[in-house]
Order: sequence, then C-alpha cells, then structure tokens
Amino acid sequence: MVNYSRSGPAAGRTTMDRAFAALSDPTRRAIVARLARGEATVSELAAPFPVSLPAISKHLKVLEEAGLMARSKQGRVHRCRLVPRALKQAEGWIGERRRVWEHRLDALGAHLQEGDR
Amino acid sequence: MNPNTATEETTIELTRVYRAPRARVWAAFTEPEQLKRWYAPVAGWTIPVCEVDLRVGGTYEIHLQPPGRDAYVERGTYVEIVPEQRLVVDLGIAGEQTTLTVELLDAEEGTEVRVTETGYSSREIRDRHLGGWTTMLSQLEQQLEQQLA
Repeated sequence: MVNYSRSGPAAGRTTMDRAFAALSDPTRRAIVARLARGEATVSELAAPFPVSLPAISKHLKVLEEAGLMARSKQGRVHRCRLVPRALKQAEGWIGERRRVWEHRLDALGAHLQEGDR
Repeated sequence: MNPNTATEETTIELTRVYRAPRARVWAAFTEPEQLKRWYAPVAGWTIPVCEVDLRVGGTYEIHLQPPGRDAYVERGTYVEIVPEQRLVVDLGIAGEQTTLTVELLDAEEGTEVRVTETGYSSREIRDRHLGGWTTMLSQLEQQLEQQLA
C-alpha cells in the first residue's frame, strides 16, 4: 500500500496519514523511540508505562497497522521491532513519488512484455 | 501557489531499460488506452478515465481510482513534445506544481527510459502535514542505520 497524494481534500487515510496519526500519541512515540534502540518484547515495552498490558497492545496494533512496527512470535513471547523501510517511506514527497514511479515502471515493463505475445 | 510562500525544489530520477523499440514505449506514454494499463500509481488502483490531447499546450486528464474511494484526478499540460524522444509535462498533483520529463534513448536491445519529476512543494504545505515528525523520523532513521550497520 502506497501513499499517492499527501494533501488535498480527497487524500483520505493514506499510509503516511496513518503513520503520522500513529505518531501523534506520546505513548506510541515513546514506544517507537524505545524500539529505535533495539527489539523488545511486549512486556518490556509496557514496563515504563503506568497503563495496562491490553492498553499497550492497542498502541502496538496501531503502530503495526501504520506499517511502522512488526512483531514476531517466539513461543508465547511477542518480539517487536521497527520497520525501517516504513520510516523511510514516511519521509515525504521524494519517497512517495519514487515509489509511485517504481511501481509504474514495473507495470510498464509488464505492459510492454504483454504486447510481445 | 502563493508566490510569497517559501518553496523547496525536490527531484526524483529513475532510469529503466526495456526490451521494446522506442516507438512502442512512446505509444505507452502517450496513448490513452495504453496509459490506462500501466499508469496507476499503486497496485490495485484502476484508471477509468484517460483523455489525452497530445500537442504543446494540450492537456491530459487521468483518473486514478483507488478501490472504494474517490478517484484522484491528475491533469497535465504538455510543454514539450519530441516524438519518440522527449515529453515534458506540467502537472498539478494535490495543488502542487510538478514537472515531469520522460526521455527515451536507444539502448542495447531496447529503449532506455529516464523519468524525472521535479516538485516545488511549498514549505507551508509540507510543514502542515509533517509537523515536527520529519525531524523525529530522520533521527530515528539515523539510529536504525547505526543499528543495522
């Protein structure tokens, strides 16, 4: 999923909107800052906050849905890590237009090949 | 765009080589029925409307349709047309001014396509959208790169 337009009334809930919405919350920013130092389990992430584990899980889900974080399961332990690509993608115009054109030029390649048959 | 607003110029450039003659690649960039088949910006999007008036000063209109949402309308004006070689378009994306240049060059066994897009995004618009996040994200990115290094 790629963000096409980052402004205008029709922009809707694009990837970048989701990323920035996710980062608008101080708890989630703190979680991201913690993950920037390295992988962590859900309980490690929850430890500094005076909120319940389910509340932290909710924050983690928002970060996941925004493409900023991924988790892997080792037995019963969920390990969380940042997704560097998503952070890079949130950089704005350059990343956005580059993604659009990379997708298009791939599609153009497929289109040109189809014509050969 | 408000001329008093500070603007920042940004450019992307991509190059690909296709095993197809220049005439065919040119047609893919300029014929509506062909554009409909590959110009969508994202997988899963469609192009229900594509109108092209290929002459200098002529315009094109492409409706980029995400599933289940309103289409984005991309409108461009052809600034320079050198058949099978060079196409320059002024386009407005989300109210911002962008110039798109497509160059076709002969390559071994095909055509080299060079796409350059230069955007002038007003700092005001950018800041409104990004707030202080850009700084935070670039800091995070640096940290991540150190981590991964």
